[in-house]
Amino acid sequence: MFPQSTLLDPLFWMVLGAIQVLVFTGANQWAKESQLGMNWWKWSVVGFWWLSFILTIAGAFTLLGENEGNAGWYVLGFVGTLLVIGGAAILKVLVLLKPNHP
Amino acid sequence: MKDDAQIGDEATNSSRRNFLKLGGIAAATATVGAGAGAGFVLGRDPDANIGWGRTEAGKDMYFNREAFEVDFPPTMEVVGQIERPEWGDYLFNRAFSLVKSIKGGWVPSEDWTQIPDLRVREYYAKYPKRWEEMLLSFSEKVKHDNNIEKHRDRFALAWAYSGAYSKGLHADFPPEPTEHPDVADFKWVQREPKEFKSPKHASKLIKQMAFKFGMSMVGITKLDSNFVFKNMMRGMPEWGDEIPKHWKNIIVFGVPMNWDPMYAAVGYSTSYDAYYRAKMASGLMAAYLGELGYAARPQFPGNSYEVIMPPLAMLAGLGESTRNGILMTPEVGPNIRLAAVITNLDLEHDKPIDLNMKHFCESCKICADACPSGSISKADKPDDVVRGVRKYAFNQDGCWRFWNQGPTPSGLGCRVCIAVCPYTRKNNWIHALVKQAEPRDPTGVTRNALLAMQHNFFYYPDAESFHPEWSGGNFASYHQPPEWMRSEEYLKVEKTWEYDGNWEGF
Amino acid sequence: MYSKKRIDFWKKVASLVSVSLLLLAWYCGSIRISDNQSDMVDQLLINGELLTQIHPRLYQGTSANELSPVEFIGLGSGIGYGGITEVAVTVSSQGDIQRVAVLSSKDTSSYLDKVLQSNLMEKILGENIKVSLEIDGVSGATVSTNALTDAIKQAADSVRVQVFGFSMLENEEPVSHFRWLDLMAIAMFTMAILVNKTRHRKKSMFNWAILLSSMCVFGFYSSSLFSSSTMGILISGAWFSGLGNYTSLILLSLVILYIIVSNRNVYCTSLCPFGATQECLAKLGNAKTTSLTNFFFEWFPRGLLLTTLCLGLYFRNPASFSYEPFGIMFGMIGSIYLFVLTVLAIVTSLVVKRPWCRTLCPMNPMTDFIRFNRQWFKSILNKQRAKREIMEANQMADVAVKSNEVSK
Repeated sequence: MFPQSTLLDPLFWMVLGAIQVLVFTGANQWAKESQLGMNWWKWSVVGFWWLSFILTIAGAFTLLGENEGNAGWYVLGFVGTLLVIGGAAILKVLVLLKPNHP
Repeated sequence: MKDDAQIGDEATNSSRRNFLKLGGIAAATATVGAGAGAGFVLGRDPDANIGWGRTEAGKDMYFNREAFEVDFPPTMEVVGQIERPEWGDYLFNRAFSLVKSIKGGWVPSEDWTQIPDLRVREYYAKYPKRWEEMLLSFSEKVKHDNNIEKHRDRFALAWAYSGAYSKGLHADFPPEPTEHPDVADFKWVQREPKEFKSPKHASKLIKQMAFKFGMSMVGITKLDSNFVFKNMMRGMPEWGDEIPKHWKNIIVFGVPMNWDPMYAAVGYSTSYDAYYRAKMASGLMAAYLGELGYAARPQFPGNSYEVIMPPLAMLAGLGESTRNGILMTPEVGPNIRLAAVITNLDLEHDKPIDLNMKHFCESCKICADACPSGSISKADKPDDVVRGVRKYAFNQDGCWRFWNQGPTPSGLGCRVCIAVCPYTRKNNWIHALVKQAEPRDPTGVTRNALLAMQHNFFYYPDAESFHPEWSGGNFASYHQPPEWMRSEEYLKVEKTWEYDGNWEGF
Repeated sequence: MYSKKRIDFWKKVASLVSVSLLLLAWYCGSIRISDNQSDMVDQLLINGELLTQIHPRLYQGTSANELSPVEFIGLGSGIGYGGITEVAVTVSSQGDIQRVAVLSSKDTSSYLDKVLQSNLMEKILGENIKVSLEIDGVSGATVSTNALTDAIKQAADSVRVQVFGFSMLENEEPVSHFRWLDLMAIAMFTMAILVNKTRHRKKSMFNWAILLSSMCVFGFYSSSLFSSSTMGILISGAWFSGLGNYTSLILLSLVILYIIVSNRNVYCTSLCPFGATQECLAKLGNAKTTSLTNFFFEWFPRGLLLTTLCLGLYFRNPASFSYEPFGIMFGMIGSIYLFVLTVLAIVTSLVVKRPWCRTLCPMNPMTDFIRFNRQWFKSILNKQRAKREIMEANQMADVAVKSNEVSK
């Protein structure tokens, strides 16, 4: 986020990486409470979705930063909406695939 | 029961703890590795070289061409015997000859058979429809000259930027040849030529020097005689169609024009910033070769050529040909201004590349739609054959006519097609991703998705809007000018205009 | 707060005011149109100085020092998306096409722009009309292209007859623009009526089947669902002279007819592709039903629809006036504001059931309007019938009394 800064830039990325841990442990906690029964491939799907989502937002704002205002908003609206719907779908599937406890 | 529950709890607790422990260790290891790797890379990052950054390190040319090398450039579709271009094929030769005739008292009319210079007449015998554009360019230039000063307030800073480089460009380095090439090209040779270990070694060094001299891209190829003008040799009053024997290889290089001004074509853009750098580099390269004992003849913008640059650049693997007929590179799209040095040094040649740009141009047509003079063909596939090569029809004279209308101070240059081309993109991560992915996708899905987004999500002003006010437009540009070119930010002017073009979107 | 009678009164006033506003818009629109075709055509002369009309579809341009006409201007028309497209073609005395001008068009401007920006027009400049004109199509704007092409060919033919003495336009039967989609529209509408009437235990499943097929066929495949612009086209009579595409109009007409006949709207529940989209998203996101009995959400869409229809009538161009996100949703056509609206509607559908239907959709005002007036009309009829029955009853009573008196 601070490409010209020799100190702030690496720091930023390190901190960003660190909070991902928080993101996923939090998600894990939440998943446990809802008894979703998460496993490796479910986490991969969620992780992939999370990555796509962040990349879409970053990409849309990169366009805005590049003075392509129209394009930025359209990408956000179009791809972003598709991802929101996709996220809802994934959530629904995860709930459906809940393992039944005896 | 209580015991069972306790044991159960402990079991789950311990497995969770184990998981966290192992996970933690893995994460920590990864982080250390990442730290080491990132640190090392940052140590070598040419972006840290203040004043001599990534360009000089050759890092602008990041695209790995090896994967795409082919034997013959796909966009140079040879359909007959390739003919060498004539003096009259070169628009500026014709234009300046006509200006000379007009100054000498000749009055041009719609009848091209009355043109005094036979060579110019021959061209318009072949393309009679283009004469009306050339004719129009003179009256439009007069209109331009009568109107342009009124808009100085708006364009003052942009004109200053362009004018600076223009002065540099028209300086006397490298000097124009004044003698026979057998003498002129050896002017800087003072000692015996130093032998290289092999042509491969020579090419490797020469390319590095191109980067050191400030160029972003470089390619080397054999000087193909098909692309040498006939009857044209600087420094010689007359010339036939011989090609000097020491003209063996050509080193082609170039830089992009500065991005933000370029995006604000027409009024705020200039070719001179890139022209100046390319010209200087050609002089430096020629001098460098001369010092090593080799003949060197620089070819540089605005008008100092004996060869046509784009096809030679294609043969040198720099990029491909496009709808509007100029060179398009994977790194910077068509935003590249070329110069070259012809030499007798033995060099290893680069191979042409195939990036499937052909298919992109077929469906894109954004430059054709935006061209303010309608000079670019809108046909799906190349629809013209020029001197033995199939390409898209391009009306040189129409393009030139609009240059004379455009709100640059001298009425030279337009560059809208370059600004709107989807390949003309800065090197940030989204574009870098796309530029690497699209040529490698054999299915065409990436290309179609990109084109769909390009056509639907991006705003392009109408072709007419790019015209100046006195010719039916509103000085529109693809991007609005950068802050440092807006005179209202720095000069005591009254802002009487509105900008029409993409901006931040907030 | 207000008595029902009072609300009813104001609703009647609103209903009458709406109709009068629509008529007013129509009237003002007809004043606006300068029907002076000659003026427009005059500007199309290139070399000629004087314009004279030979017949309604042909003008000639003469020059002072030439005996025979210097050029001809032919007029032609074609049937487009929203109505008639009129074109004028200027042809030299040798038969070379020199200029093509679009005089008027009822098509949506983005389609028209697409055709004009292609090199369709440029390609025919300079062509001689002695031979038949080859005109390419423009993908993504077929109806608009066909309208322009037909118009240009008709205009060229008027001149061809004058200059060369023969015609190339086959006497075409009025082209049937009906297609299988129109049949499907009728078929699916019938099924929708049946499904709504039945008490079958699988009723909900059938309804879903129709909704989903409609979303695919009338939504994503052909984007032929109707909107407020279709309503405008219907009431302005632009379809009299022919339309390029009848599917949305047929659907709208069937819906209106059925509301008048049975007081029910089966379109929203069983057919609307956008409604179907919202239902799917609601299922995905477990959306909650909300009740929106806000005064604002009742009357604002009504005002919005009325304004849109009035503007369409005034400018005689209903195809250009609509505010629904259908175009964006199913065909990526529309401005960035409509795009934002679409995104909002879609994302909200995940959490709230059918948000567009419950807030801005013009179907609600239209349905309410028809049902209200139907009710009003019925109550007038009932009152009259009641009056008549009372009169008849009185008459019979009189007769009975009289006969009683007599019999006494």
